[in-house]
Amino acid sequence: MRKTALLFLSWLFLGAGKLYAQEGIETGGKVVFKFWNGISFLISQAVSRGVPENTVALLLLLPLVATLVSVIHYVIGFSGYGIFMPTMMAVALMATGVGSGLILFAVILAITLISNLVVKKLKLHFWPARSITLLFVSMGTFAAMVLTSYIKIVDVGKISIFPILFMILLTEEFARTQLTKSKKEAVRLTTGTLVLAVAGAMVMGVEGIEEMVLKRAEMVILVVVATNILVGRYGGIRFTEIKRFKGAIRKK
Amino acid sequence: MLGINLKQYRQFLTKNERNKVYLRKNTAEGRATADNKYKSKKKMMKAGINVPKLIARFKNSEEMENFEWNKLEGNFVIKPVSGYGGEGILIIRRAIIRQRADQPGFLMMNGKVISVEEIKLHCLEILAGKYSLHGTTDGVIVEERIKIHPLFLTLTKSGTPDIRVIVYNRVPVMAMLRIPTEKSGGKANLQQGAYGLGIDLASGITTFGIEGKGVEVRKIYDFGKKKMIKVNGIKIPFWKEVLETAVKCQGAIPGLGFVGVDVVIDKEDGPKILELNARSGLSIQLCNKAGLKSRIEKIDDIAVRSDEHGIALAKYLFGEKFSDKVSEKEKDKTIQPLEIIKLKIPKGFKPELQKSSIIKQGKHRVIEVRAKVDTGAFRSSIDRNLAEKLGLLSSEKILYFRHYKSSLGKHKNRPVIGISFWLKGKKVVTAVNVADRDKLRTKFLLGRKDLEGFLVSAVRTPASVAPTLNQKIKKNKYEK
Repeated sequence: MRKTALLFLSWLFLGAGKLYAQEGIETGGKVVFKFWNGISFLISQAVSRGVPENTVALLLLLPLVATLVSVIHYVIGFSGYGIFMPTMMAVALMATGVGSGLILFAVILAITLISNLVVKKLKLHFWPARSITLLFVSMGTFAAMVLTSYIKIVDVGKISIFPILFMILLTEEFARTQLTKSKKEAVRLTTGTLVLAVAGAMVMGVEGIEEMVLKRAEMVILVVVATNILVGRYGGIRFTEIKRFKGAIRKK
Repeated sequence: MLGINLKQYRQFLTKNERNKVYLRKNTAEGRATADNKYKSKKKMMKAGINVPKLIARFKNSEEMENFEWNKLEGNFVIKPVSGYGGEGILIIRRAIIRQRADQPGFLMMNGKVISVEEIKLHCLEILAGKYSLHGTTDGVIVEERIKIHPLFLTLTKSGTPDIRVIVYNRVPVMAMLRIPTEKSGGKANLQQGAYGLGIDLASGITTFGIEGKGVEVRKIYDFGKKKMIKVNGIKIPFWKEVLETAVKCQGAIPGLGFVGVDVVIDKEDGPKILELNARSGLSIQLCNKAGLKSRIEKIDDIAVRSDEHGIALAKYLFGEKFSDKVSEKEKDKTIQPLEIIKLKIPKGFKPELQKSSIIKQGKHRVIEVRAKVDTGAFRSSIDRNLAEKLGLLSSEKILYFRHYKSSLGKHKNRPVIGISFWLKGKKVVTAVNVADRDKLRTKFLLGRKDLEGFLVSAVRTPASVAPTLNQKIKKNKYEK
């Protein structure tokens, strides 16, 4: 299984993929049904019937970004809050634009931290305290939106509720780690999540990648499955662990 | 690659590999038991293993409110049932009477005062799942605080040091002493900044030390002597019992083939099991300067017969070779191709020997055996007859059987036994295989595994070999 996956990936990177990708362009963008491209054909049919193209592309890109996150985690050893948080944040950042997304996140994070300080003094139960924090975040985000509609640093039209929700989730995780573990750990995990998310957003933002995944959906599926089989069975050392274990080697 | 020899890293259990081992060796039920402090405590109590006494357990806030907090006199610990990494734990030293008698407070380990109301709020937070492993609602347990052993009191002023023993297949494979510091807030978790000191499994003596998750430390502060002391050379009290307790607990909970056992040592009651970790941390390898993976691989296919067998395997396979005494006398480091070793006779065994006489080596009884150095062999070999005469071949002494290929191409399943011997005054505790050396002159073959720190000289200087044996060799030559 592992060997097959490896074989497939090397075949892909050794040029076969290039040929495969070019073929689509030659046919002028229209997907013609062949025995191997059933899914792509289905997608093109669905799009012509009114299924939003953007959403389908995002659906296909999600596992690709998740794969990227898992490769970075298991092989390099760099990680954030799990796998879904960076993936979701990547989608959020893509929707808002990376720059304005980060500004929005900073605003939400600041509000959460300040409100936590206030709520802590009230000595409330865990969940009511969260609800009050959420209220502050909602008001604060609203204020930020009003403000940016006057000074145009963030495109207000791009801010929808879902990116904001994802960001609230991330700040919530930040506050939680800060409380239960330490500030250092919270900062480490949150920056990790943001870096992974930016990387993911950049991959999703590559020109022509949406068109590519729509026309080559089978390729996406195979790449995702093959890479994850390889990474999933990887039992070796992570890049960051080399530094960690260096001191444990006895000098003869 | 990049100037790093990746081969050196193969001995270590990495995160990726650990997660695989964890899934392979631990069943879902075993994992659930280890993650649940209440469940594991119940099971261990049933099996007769010493654990800190349970004072109360709350499943919901009513039970917690109904509990008579005022009756507690102190010396208790509040823990989340499914907590992790030592989080959410309150350690209470004693009750203090304030001006208002209806509102008693407690003194915590870190010197702060906490009121009953604050304790209750903390319990509510635990119940809501603030510290829970899965973020779901949780339970609270209140248990007795153990009385710290005087040795450990000199090592820390905040919190209770404990011993983490990793048990795999009923064999203790690695151990470390975890010492809480002020920085770690009295918690013995390395990720919170506690000290970790590696422990030699054979002797219970500390070896190397780290602080937090990787910084090496060479000296720590001794509060008794009021000065810095070396991290190595600290002897853990009740060491044999610590290992026995740790191994026993794996038998008590089925489905835990790979587990990190946290043992605390009570001043009066000896070792008690604090908690179990199905997914033990990997920093233990740093303070032992040894790899878990290579150790696990060594014992993976051995069918361990009993707890004693498991501990014997650990002693003979993973014991450290302390060579400080040897390094003092540089001259003695050189050995000849033929050397005399002093082989330890097991306690209480009466060997039937005609030729050699039993001599005393400290408190042990030993006999002198002529050994041939063979750097081509990895493990040392002992003659079957000799081993039998010395009582080393009884079934409880055999560690395992291994397939060996001799230089003559003969294949055989040889027993591997644990022995101790002295070579040039250096004690070697090791595992050797049993071979038929009946027709050979030397009944013992020294493999390179047990020759660490020695130089083998090819020139035979007659003076260095014991005269009696030397003459015998010469005589044999002439006879031929």
